[in-house]
Amino acid sequence: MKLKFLFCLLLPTVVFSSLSAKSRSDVSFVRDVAPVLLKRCSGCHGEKINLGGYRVSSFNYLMKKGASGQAAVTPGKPEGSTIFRLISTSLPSMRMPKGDDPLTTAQVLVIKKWISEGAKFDGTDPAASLRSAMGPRQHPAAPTIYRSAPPVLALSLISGSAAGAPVVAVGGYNEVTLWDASSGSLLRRIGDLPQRIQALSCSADGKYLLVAGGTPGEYGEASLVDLHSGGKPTVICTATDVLLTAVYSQDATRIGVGGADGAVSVFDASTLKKMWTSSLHSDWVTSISFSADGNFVASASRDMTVKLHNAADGSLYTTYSGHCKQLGQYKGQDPVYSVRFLSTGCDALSAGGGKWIQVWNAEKAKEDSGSAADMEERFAKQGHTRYLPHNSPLPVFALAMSGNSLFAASGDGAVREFDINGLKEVKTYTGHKDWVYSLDYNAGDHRLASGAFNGEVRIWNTDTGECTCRFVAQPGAITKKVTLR
Amino acid sequence: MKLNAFAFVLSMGLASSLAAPVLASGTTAAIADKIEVYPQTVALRSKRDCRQVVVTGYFHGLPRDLTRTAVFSNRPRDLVTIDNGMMRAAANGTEHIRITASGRTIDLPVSVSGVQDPDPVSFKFETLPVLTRQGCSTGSCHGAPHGKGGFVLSLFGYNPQMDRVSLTRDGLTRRVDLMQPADSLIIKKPMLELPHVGGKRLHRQDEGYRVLFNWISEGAYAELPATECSSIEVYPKGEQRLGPDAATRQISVLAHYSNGQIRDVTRICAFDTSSASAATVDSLGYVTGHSRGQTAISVRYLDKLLSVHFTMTEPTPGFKWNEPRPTNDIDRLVNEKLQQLQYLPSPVCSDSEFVRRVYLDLTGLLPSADQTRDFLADNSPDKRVRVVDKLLNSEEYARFWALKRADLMRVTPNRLKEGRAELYSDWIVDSIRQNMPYDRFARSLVTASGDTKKSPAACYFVAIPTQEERTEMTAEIFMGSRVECARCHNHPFENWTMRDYYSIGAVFARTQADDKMVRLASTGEATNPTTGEVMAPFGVQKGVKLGDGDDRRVTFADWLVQPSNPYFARVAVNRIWASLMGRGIVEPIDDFRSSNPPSNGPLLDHLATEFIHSGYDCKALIQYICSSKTYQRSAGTNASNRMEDQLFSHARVRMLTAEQLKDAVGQVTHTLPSPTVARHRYATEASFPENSTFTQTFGQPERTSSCACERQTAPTLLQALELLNGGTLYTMAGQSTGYYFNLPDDKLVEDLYLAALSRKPTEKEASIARGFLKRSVNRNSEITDLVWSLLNTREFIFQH
Repeated sequence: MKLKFLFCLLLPTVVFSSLSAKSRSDVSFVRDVAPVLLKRCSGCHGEKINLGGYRVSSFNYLMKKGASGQAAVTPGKPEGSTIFRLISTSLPSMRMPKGDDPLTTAQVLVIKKWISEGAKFDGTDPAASLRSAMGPRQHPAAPTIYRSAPPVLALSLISGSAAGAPVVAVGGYNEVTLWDASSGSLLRRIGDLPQRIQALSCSADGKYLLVAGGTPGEYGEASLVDLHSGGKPTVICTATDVLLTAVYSQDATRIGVGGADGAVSVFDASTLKKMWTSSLHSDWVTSISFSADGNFVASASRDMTVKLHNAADGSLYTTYSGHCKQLGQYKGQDPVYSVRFLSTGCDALSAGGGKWIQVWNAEKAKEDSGSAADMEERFAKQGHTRYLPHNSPLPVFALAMSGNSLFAASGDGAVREFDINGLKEVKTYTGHKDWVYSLDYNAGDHRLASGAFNGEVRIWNTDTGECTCRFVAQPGAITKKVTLR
Repeated sequence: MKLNAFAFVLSMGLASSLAAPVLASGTTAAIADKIEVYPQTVALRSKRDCRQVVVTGYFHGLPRDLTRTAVFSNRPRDLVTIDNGMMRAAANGTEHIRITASGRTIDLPVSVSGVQDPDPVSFKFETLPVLTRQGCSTGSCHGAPHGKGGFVLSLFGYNPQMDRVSLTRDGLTRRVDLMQPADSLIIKKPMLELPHVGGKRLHRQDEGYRVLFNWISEGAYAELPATECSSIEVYPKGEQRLGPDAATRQISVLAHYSNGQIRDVTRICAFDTSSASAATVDSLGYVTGHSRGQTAISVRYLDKLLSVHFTMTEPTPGFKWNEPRPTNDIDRLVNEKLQQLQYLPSPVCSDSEFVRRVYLDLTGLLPSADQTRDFLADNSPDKRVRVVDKLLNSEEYARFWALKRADLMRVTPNRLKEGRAELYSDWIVDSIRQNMPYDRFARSLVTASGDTKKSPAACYFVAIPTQEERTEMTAEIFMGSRVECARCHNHPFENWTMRDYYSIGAVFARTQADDKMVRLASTGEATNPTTGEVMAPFGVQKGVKLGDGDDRRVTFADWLVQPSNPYFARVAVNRIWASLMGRGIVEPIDDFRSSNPPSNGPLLDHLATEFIHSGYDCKALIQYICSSKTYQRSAGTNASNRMEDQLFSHARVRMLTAEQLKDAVGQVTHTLPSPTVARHRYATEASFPENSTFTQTFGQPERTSSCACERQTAPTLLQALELLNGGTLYTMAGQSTGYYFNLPDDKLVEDLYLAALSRKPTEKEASIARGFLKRSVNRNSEITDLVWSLLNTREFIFQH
């Protein structure tokens, strides 16, 4: 009798607590579990290394047995799931991650709850890698005050801002910042963007800003910012590593995106639908350019080549290998950081490491590439490329141009202006005290913008060569002292 | 006799003192005789300043580490935090911390200042060492010439400028995140928060994590001050003993900088062990002994490397030292080591073994049947010493030992044309025949000039034409140092830096050689290719300025052969020791470095001292070694020393060298002419390597390198085939009938055994052999077969 009474008293509590757990249920695999697996497990049980014959690189793999023959996850039964037992055991010799800090209590509980609730997959493709299954990230808010000036890896002069003061967009941390290019004052901050911003590109009409970036080694994202509406950026695509380039075609109908996963993707600029993806590079895609005639998409890579794709379907047209020549006067093996088609025809410029900026033609590049049969002849041949001497021991990271004028940003802190036809340097813009990574040029305003590792942005008048404005793109910083790291 | 007994008691005393800690085992609460603390005072001078404190207790005179069990009390003001003896600054002030361990106390005065001031992480002196410590910049990872995964670091941080760029600017700056330091790739990857082929390399509690995190937090500043680390200081110093009850020691490392600063780098330097079975060391510098043996615990900080040598002893049940009186100090020092590690040496070898061994070692030839017979019949007690004397004064000795030196000097007609190789070789033979003091020999070579036909020593520079090779060869031959790594980067396992390399290069920068002449030029410098610095010649005393007319090589030779030179005499005695014993005290014999310790340091020191005192007299040294019991030990082993192969507890069985084997076959088959008639037909006495498949198969070097390793000693299948099926051996066996045919069977068998094995046949062997000869089908082929069989025995092919 007494016991029964006690039982009655206890029962509602138990029911209540389990109900409350249920009501807070909705543990999402994609949102809550996958990030924990990626951060804490995939180092040893990932795509490349899978210790114990077990990997968590996709949902399907997660559910598969490892070499032990035991299923890692028994839906509904955390205590019967090896994965839960191993992350929660108190035996140090057994506990996963082996030789590392244990998972936090919160992380363990998330996994426990997910298993109790049936270990359901709520993504789109259970076979897809965890990284890609995770979809676009919710980005944290940008820091109100920057503790340090982030390197200016991307900047873009906002076109069509002639009505008001000139504006320059600069890559920040989880945001893009807009600055008055004549006073250097901060105008606006656009959030909901990836951690690092690697590329910015403004549409010709000044309405849109293409943003590429991500978190190194983990995540890449390309987004479209509507500068006029001010709404949340639209995600174009995501990737498993940082995206390094996003550009419009010269007629603004398509968008090209590339990054550290080595892929080149082309999207329809109005629908943002993917048209094609090409994964021919063996290293990062650092820069993309569409030819003026609309036939070619060129992609520069750290693999020392520039690949030319047929713009229609992404098939390979030819590979330009002028940056990895073993023989002849212009030899060298260097990464390529920037490629630009001229505004007419299919002539292109490319630059990166090495002593020359190379000027070449897409169609002639195919002829130079020849076939396997004439390899020896081809190696000895000079080819049609014209070489523009670039006198810096450090690489060129960005090119900007208009008409016959070409600008190159270099690791030595200088921006150099060249006469493309004359193949000679005409001016040097000196003042940056650190590596210059980003560059943009507005021919109409005779305005050039450059950004350096130490966070400094400089605006130059290309007629006089003078620096008209300089500021450190560090929102919230009290002093804007430029320091050399 | 009394002395003998005294030595025995003394040695027993040593053995029992070894056993003492065992008795104390299990009584860890035992009161120590005394405790010591290192350092005796601690002065921390900045916010992140720290000091590794080491507490040592002495039990029956033997040290035991107490750092981790010591209690640090009387700290009312908490000026420091302490973990595993590592004191870190917390608040300014001074106090006396009381340390209590094993029933003893000691007070440690501690002062802390400067805590209020900024103390930023130094890229050069903290970040880079951490990358070495965590293994990032090793040769198999990002320190490889092309790095790994697109991320390149310089090997062990020898090029800070390059690493600065690589960490902060390269890879489109993706490796450091100044906004959220923990999000930096150089932290997330080694923490395995992202897939990393190199695996887990960093833990949150590591000092390395703290250094990297703080460095990035502070802005990843990578200034490269002109200050250099001038030296590191390691405690404890010298030879250290570990035992079952005192198996741990804490190491403390201080770095001294050129600006006078001193910092504790125990937690940011890299530790390694040369023998993990003897002892291991963890990332905190805590050494743990495991099983009987010796190891060098090396400490690396930037380009500085020091080693502490540990001997782990374990009592063997029933071990009882049985060695009779040592003949000389060699035996005493070898025995001390054997006793310490508890190995019983093998007994002294028989006269047969001795006579074969000493002839082969000193002349490269076997004793003839008659020489062996005479030696065995001799009953005088000093006959072993006399035979050594006799051999040392023979022409064969001079020839055979010249061959060893000529191997290293690269004496071949390929480069030394028009008879120069012969002249140079003759010069070397003559120097040995005259017993030219070894310092004079070395000096003659490295300072030689003139017409190579008139002054053959000058061929030294013709045989090695480039400045790089001269640098490397001179260092290898006379300093036992393999410096070639330092041509492109600081040596990974030793203190040789690029500056040293090009300083040695500067010694020879003005020595010009063509085929005929070696001349001194008045100009010529060596430049460090990474810094562009023009190097001063190696060996020049600080403050001394050489004139343009001075021969830099003379200054170098002065430095090289002075008695205080740490390399010269040691390397020389080690080479001679290895020739006689089959293994160097330091092995490989030309790889002297603190991380490759001698197997018996006191022995090496003693031999070097004796050598210097004798005036670098090689013959005296050989006589000294050959008269020791250590040299005369049997190759047979006992249960105790069967696995022992470094401490010279028994003779080493080794295959005859190519030249010895060829001549031995010739001697046994009587196909070699008398030495006085045709010297050049002896492989052990030739001026330069003969172009023979037989000798090449057995490892004769081509003399294209100055490394003793050019002579192949590992047995090969080809060698087995050459002996079983090869024409050389069989033909010579066939020719032996000319000598043996007319001998009576008894004499034939005995002569053959004496010639080949330096012993008489056993009764059983003799009867089998006689039975075989008696078949009398074809005496020629029976003799051939008998000789061939004997030449194919291991007893013949090996020296023992």
